[in-house]
Amino acid sequence: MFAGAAREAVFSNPEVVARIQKDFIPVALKAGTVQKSAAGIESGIYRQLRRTQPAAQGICTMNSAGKVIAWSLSFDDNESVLTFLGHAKKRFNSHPNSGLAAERFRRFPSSQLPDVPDDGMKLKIPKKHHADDRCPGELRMSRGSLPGKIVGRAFGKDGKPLSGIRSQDNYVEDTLEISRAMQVELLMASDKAVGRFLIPQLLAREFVGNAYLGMLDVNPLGGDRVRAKLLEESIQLWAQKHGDGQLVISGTSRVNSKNREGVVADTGRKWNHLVDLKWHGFMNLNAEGIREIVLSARGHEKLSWGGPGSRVSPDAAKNPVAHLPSGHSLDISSAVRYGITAR
Amino acid sequence: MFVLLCATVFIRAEQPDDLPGHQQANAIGRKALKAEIEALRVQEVAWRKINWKTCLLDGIRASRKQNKPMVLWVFIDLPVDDKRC
Repeated sequence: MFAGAAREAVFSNPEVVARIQKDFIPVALKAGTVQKSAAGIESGIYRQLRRTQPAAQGICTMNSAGKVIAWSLSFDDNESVLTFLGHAKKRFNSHPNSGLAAERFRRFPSSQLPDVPDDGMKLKIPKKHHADDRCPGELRMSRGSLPGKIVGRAFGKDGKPLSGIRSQDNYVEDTLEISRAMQVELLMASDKAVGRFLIPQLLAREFVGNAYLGMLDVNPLGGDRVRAKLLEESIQLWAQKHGDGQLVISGTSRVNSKNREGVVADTGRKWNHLVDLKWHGFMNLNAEGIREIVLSARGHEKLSWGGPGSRVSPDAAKNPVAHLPSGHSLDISSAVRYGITAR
Repeated sequence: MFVLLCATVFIRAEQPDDLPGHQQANAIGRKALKAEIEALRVQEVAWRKINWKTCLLDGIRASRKQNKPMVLWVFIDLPVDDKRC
């Protein structure tokens, strides 16, 4: 939840955007990379993050020596975000390239955790990655995969797209990976078929599993990764063969998941997500795999997050920056459209 | 008569036009559908105005050159570099 809430409430605030553009170097790091990055020439800097971080996810400021200036997991209010950035800038000005204690806040500035003193280590920081040293932040996609894009929007009762696009509840953009295995399965199914055939589930699930509103935590096909209990899954996407390698796609999908029950670690996590779609579009094949995908889906979506018994604070809707780790409540029921393209 | 009716229903059910979405797909061409999808996309998205680097070394190099601190956004990831978060 943290990342989606941070993007919506912090990194979409025009004043914060302007301050970062003017006074900071923005770097986005994946929490998994920070936790696992043992090797590589910047491993020492990642170690600085690990030894100081108050939680796996957060917003951090760092100086040119690779030393943490301050972490925060949330903020008292919108003004506090700017104060945090100003505070970090001030500490940077006095320690631009040397060790300093890492300040840590659960919520800036009202809830401070103990500082982590500097470890005295002078980090060797090379100018760039050598040929044999792969950057941990690099985009990784399996060999032979086709990268795809999805865009999705919620629509109001007037039939117009909802305008609050800061929020992933109304507007999503995402990437998907059409793996080599998915393409091979599709080619085999197409070769065997005369006329129309069912698109293999691995590929159909990749389409359906990316077509949902909201943050990563509410993926109806996310399974254990998002600690979901699958309530319903019905996916039937058909392909009608045409002579020129073109497939006309049509079909339906209906998926519904909710939070798992009876798992201690999941206590306070309350959500339910139903996505009901009709699909149509085209795919072009050649002997090697998929050349192009143009696919559209329309339907209805119901999503709830939070509510009684959840960790989501009732105050979060009014002051979202103060509640980044658990986000704000959602109760959505709307018409939706998605588009998937790949080439 | 019953057998004939069942056979007619069976044959009818096999028609691709009965599949949800098939008529839409045939009614709209690939280019038009692509344009419809692109129209869903919003160009001016607030969070896209921050040009995030993904390499710490790049960040530190820029920090030294421009004499600016870094702001790091550490967030949960999925196997593929995702835009949803």
